Amino acid sequence: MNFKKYIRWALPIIFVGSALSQPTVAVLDFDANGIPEYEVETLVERLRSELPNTGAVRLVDRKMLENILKEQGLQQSGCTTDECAAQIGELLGAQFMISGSIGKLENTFTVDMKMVSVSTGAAERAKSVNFEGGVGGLLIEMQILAWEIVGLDVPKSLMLQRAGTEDEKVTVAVMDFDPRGISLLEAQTLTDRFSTEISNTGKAILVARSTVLEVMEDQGYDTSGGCTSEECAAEVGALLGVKFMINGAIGKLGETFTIDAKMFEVATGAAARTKNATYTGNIDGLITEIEILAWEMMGLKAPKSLLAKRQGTLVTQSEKPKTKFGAALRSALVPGLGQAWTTDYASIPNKAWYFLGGEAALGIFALVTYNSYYSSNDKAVKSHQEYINAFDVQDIRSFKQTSEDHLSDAEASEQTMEYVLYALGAVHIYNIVDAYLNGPDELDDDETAVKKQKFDLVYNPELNQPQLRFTIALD
Amino acid sequence: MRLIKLITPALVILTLACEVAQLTYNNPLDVEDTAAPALVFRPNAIETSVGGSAVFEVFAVQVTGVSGIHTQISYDNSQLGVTNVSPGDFFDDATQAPMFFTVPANPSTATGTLDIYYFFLGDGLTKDGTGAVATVIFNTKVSATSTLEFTAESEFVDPDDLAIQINSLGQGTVTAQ
Repeated sequence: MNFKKYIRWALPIIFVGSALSQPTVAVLDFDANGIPEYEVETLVERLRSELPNTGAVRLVDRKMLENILKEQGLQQSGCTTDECAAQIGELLGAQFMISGSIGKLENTFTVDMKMVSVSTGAAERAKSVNFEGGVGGLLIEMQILAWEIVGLDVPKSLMLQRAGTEDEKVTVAVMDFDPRGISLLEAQTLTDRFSTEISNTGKAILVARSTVLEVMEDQGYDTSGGCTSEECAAEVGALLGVKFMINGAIGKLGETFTIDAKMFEVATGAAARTKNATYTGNIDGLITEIEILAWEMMGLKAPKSLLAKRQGTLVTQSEKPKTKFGAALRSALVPGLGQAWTTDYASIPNKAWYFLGGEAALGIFALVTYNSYYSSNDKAVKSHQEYINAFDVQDIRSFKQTSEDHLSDAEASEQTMEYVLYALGAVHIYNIVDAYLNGPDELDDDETAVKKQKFDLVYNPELNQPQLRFTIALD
Repeated sequence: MRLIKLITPALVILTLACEVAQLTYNNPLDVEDTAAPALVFRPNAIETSVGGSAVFEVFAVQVTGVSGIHTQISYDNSQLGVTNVSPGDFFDDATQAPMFFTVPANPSTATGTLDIYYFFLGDGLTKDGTGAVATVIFNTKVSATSTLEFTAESEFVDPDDLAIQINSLGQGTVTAQ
């Protein structure tokens, strides 16, 4: 009881004591160079409001500053030298004065400020920053400068906000996924992979896991699965200064893994995006699924390389089944391809090679025959022209005979080629039909059968008669 | 895939493009032995525009021992006119120059005739084989197809002025469009 009593008395003393130990600072209005004064006032006001947050200084009230200046007949805009600032500070009873200027050169804003010691009149610390972008981005810069001018490290949340304004990236922190049916270590490993991939998307500035854990420890949360609720995640997110938090769970049901992830806005708590996947297969495939989920979570399409890596069977994204028609189509394009495709190219049947080889041989033979036909026909035409132009009876007869012989050869070649092409066509059709007949079984289960077939004939045991059934897939 | 791109068009081209040339062996000088000796036009058909020219060569084909040629060409006077007639090289000879003259058609008659005389004088000089007797240039008057024919008056003669039988007389056509 006595202890509590002491505490009750001691706390205000400690508080007042610590407050009095902080130096007092007054902030003068900054000079505006190339930007409107009202914008400069807004920015300086942001500096003023951030300075007390540092806990390193006590700020002299702006109203008080204005009253004293009025009494002394001074104007802030006229006080640009260190000596003047020190003089006003003395009147205010402040230990330090902060003054500076904000300017604009083309698209670059410049902020220069210094903290002057009232007692010595010397500049204690000076800071400056250049900023490219909209004037709104200077607000964060002013907050950062507030910390830097008093000689303190800038909080990470502010730095993250600054990074967020540099481009369109959003600041994100990922909480360890809640393990359900898998070990905590496995869940953490998968979360790490998820976080890495979130970072790889290039759309997010990811807070390091160590930073997240550090904040959790500071807040007294158990770092090994002690912060699974959204409230806790939002609180950690607010402390980290991130825009979005991602949490979720990875579960295992028999041989099936389930991944549920949710990204919500820290400020509002509203869910920005929810994704889930169900996966059956080995653990390598699960990692790939996690990586794909990371891209989808950021509203992006997963890269092709990642999709190609996808293994196993996704229940939610079933692979397109092979069909007989598909096999026939492939064989129509390349002889034997449909047969090979049916066996997944694992053990290509001999007949696939026979079809390919046979058709290639017939094709070559057809080309050779065509060449012979073309040559003979050409020679016949040339000889005919010589026959037409000839005057001598012997020449006329000779050219005529030669032309007729070549013409006869061309006709023979054409006939042969026609037979070869018929044979080629017949083999090709046989190859297509074979691919279709021996193609993959399409209707492996009833569900697929129902989806595939819109009309079918079924036996109705109630009516004891066959019925024509019409089915519409509703998915 | 590249193989498909090659084979498919090749097969299509092979199937569609294979057509043996349709050749007509109609050289006017190509006369069967049984039809020789002959008197023909070369070429035997000309297409031209109205007012255009049609140049025909008159050939003696597979003749033996000929020392004089008389050709009479008949044509439709309302459709064709003779522009020029010049001697061929059949009777060219180092020892003696041949005689060559023509009798033009009577413009008042519907059927025009052109007589060409080409011969050696005296001492038994003869020619064998195939050769050009004359080159005749016709001009077309109207849009029509006209026929040129050798009349029965045409003849080959030997040095004794005895007629050599002509076994076939060619025809020529002029199509003016």
